[in-house]
Amino acid sequence: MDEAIRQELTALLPRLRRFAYGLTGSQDEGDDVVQSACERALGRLHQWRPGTRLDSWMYRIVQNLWIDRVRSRRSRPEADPEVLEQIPGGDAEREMEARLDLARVRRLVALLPAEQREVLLLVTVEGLSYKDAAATLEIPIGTVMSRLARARLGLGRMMEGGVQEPSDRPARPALRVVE
Amino acid sequence: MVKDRDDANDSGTVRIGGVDAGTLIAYADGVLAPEEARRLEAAIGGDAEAQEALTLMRRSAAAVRHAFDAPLDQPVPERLRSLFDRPAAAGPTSRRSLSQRLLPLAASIAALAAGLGLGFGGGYMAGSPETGGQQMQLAAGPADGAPGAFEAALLRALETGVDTTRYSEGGGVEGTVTLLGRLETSFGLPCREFRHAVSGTAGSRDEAGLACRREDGGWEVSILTPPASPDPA
Repeated sequence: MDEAIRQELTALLPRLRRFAYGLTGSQDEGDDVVQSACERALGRLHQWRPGTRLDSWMYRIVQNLWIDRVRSRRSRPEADPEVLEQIPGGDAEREMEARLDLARVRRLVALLPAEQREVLLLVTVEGLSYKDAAATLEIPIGTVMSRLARARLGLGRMMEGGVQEPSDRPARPALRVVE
Repeated sequence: MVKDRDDANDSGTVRIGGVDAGTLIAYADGVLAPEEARRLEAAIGGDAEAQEALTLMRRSAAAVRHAFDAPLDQPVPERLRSLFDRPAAAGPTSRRSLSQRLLPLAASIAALAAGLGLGFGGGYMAGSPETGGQQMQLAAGPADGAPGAFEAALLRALETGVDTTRYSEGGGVEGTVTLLGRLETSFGLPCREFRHAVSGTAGSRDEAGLACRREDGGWEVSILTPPASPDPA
C-alpha cells in the first residue's frame, strides 16, 4: 500500500473512532466497526479514487458497516458504560455534573433515528460541510439540511425535557431503507 | 416532539414557524450567505416558534459537539493502529481476499507452468516478491510514461478480448499475449489470466499473469515471472 495513504488512514483513526462512537453509542462497539471498516478499506483501496476525499470515503464505509449491524441485530445501543463508571474526586461535583451531562447527551443522541444521527455526527461533531456530508452519505444536500434540522431540534427539545427520556429500554424505532 | 420517522418531509421542505427548516439550520450554523441571512432575520423577527427552534438548534450543537471526544484524547488501540503499521500488514488482507477466490487460478497457473516446463517453486502468490512476481497497473487513459509495446498489446487484448495479440518492439523483440481463463474478484470485477511470451536477441521469456479490472476502468496486472533460467544466449 502506498505509504502516503497509509499515513493518511492512520491519521484518520481518531476521527473515525469518534464517529463510530457516536453512531453505536459505545466505544468498544465503535472500535469494532472501525476495525471492520479499515479491513474493508485495505481490501478495496483500488476503489478509492485519488483526488477525492479519503475521509469521506472512510466515513461512508464506517456508516455502511454500522447500518449493516443495526439491520442485522435490530438492537439499540448499549447503555453508555461511562454513566455507571466511578467518577474520580477533585472538583468532583462539578466534574461529575459535566460528565453526566455529556453522558446524557450521548444517550439522547442514541434516541435519534439513525439517518438523523449520522447527519448530526458528520456535520456537527465531525465538522463536515453540508455538501461533504451529502457526498459521504450519497443523499441530496437538501435532505442533509432537513435531517440535520430535525436532529438538532429534536435533541434540543429532549435536552430541555420536552420529551421524556425513557428510563427503561423501549422498542427501538424500526429502521428501514430510505434510499 | 421528535418523530422517529417522517420521511415524507425528508427532502428539505420541513417548515418551522414560517421558515424552511433547512434554511434555519444553515443560519444557526452560520453558513448562510449574508443576504440570505438578512432575509431570514427579517422573516423570523416576530416568529416565536422559529426563534425558539433556533435557540434549541444552537444549544444542541454546543452540547453534542464534544460529547464523543473521548477517542481523541486516548491513544488509538493497538488492534486498530497495527492495521496500518507496515506495508506488509496491508498485503495479506488484500491478497487473502483475492487468493481465496482465485484458488482455481493458482491451480491453472501451476498447470500452465507445468505445461510450459516452468518451475515456479513453492506457493503461488501473485505479485509477491518471494516468487519473483511483479505488479503493474494499466490505465486506459494517458499514463505517466508512454507504455511499452507489451503493455499496449496487453491492454488491447484485454479490452478487445482477442485471444492472441502479437507485438514487436525495436531491436527485434517479438512478443505474444495470449488470453486464457476468465475469473472474477470477490468484488465481482472481471479478471483474465494470460500468457506472455517474448523473445529477442537477449533470449526468450515465458510468463503467466493475471489482469483484474479496477473500479476506475483500468487493469491491475500481476505477472508471475519464472525464476531466472540459465540464459541460452
